[in-house]
Amino acid sequence: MSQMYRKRDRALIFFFTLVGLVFWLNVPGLYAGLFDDTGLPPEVIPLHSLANGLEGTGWLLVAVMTGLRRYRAAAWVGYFVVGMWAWDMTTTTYLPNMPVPPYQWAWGPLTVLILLVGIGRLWRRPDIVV
Amino acid sequence: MVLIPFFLWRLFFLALSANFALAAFDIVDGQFDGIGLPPEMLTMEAVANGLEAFGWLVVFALSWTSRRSASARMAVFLGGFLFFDVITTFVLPMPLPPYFLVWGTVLVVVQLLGARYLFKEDADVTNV
Repeated sequence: MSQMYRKRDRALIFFFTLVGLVFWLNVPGLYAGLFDDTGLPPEVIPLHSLANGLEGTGWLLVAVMTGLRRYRAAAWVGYFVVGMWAWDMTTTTYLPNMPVPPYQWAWGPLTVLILLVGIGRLWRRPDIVV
Repeated sequence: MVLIPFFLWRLFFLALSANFALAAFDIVDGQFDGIGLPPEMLTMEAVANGLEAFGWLVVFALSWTSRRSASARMAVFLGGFLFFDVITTFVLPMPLPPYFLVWGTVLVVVQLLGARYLFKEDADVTNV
């Protein structure tokens, strides 16, 4: 039983690590000026950088806590950071010249759903204390 | 005595819902037009505040049912939702009380405490 969970854990750890890295990639991107033509006021660019760094750190924390089998704690952190991403995704949907793939109105909510499914898996997993 | 936090938290969730709904209308009304955000974003800020109002209404509604665990998780999600708003807009000249970063963050913490309360209530109910 526990062996079976371990295998699925690895997939989730990989997934959440990848998500954390994607969010962290935006931090240098924002400083490099990738978002300068989007209409975002210059004074909020560093704040978006900070927010993306926090989100990236949150997702990496989710991955680490999954590895430590603290599934419930990981899920709580996950729900908070996916909420952060949902705000970002919603409010920037129609900004021009975003250095992200087109059709954000479609893939934005989809990523929120996928992340919620991933967190839901953590939530339903029993805590195994080793 | 147990009933006091029971009703206070539910009142809080309802007040949050009303507050974000009002904020959405204020944005549509143009009260945030001069803060420096592009119009495409302002529209979506109104949409986001509307979603937030709806979300807290759902938390309020579910808090009366056996799905309190779902409402607690949703409250944490909505806490993150507001937190992104607070930390990325607090420097803008918005028609809000001063020190938005401070009271906004405190509000997020109180929301998380509300989620914790709902979750504990759920545990109390299911462990009977």
